[in-house]
Amino acid sequence: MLKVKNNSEMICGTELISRFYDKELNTEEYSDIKAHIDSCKICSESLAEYGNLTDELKIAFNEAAESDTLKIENRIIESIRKKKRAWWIRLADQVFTRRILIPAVMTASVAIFITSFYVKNSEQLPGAVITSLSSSENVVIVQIERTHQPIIWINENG
Amino acid sequence: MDKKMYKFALGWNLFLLIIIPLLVMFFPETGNCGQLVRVDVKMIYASKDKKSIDPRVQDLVRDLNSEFVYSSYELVGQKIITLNDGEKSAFEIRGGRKLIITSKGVSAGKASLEIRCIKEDSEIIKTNIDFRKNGDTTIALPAKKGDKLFLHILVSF
Repeated sequence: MLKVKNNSEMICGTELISRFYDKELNTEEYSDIKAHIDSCKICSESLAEYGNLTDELKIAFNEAAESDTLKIENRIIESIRKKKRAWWIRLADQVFTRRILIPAVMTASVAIFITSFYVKNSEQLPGAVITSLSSSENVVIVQIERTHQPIIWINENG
Repeated sequence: MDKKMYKFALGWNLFLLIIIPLLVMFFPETGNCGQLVRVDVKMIYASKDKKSIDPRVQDLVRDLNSEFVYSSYELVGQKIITLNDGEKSAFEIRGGRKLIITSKGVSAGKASLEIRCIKEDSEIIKTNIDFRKNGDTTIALPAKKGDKLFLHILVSF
């Protein structure tokens, strides 16, 4: 235990003032140093200087920390922004994988092929097709535009 | 989906993609031998003397009027016949003519008919026509004074 009572040489200009400021002394030492500081102009000035220095250091550290924090924050926000994509892009990533896309495309292509084949067959062909014709009269073949129905028009000769 | 299921789905889809189009292309509708064919023949007399349209043939007249200009259409006769493969039917029509219809059978979704019109043992027209289900055609025969006798033939099977 450090004996500091009435021993200015042991206190003035030593680290005790710093330890006093940082509250690193036990109760008895603390009260002895306090009593000394109250009576010693040099030590009280030193204490004040420590206080100022500490405050300035604190400010500087805080500023540095804030600046770093800000930088870190910005970096994090930027990386999140880059990772955050539109909902349709995220959906596309889920859907358009090989496991889903290939079978889906195959099935769709088969369905389209079959549908177009039968739709084509049912819609575009006429209801009747003349495969052969012979006549002793003049014959004209006409087709109704709306229904594609063939009409065999026979003109009597003479 | 685990690997096994994925491979199964892929294989199944490949099968569908290849086999079904082949089936469709190389195995068209099969023939229907011996199928009955129903032939509905409407005889419609058209002239320019009168101005009237028989309501029983109003739908047909709408199509005929798109190509021909007659002011009067009258349903003067109708004959419905059912023919088996190779079977024929003959009946009289206006103007001393006879219509003979022969079924050549049903194949690939089409009924093939031979239609002949004869007047005084002389053949006016002979034609072979392939009809789809509910397909129809019209034969316009000459009548007196520039009038016309339309034979509307509707086939179902």
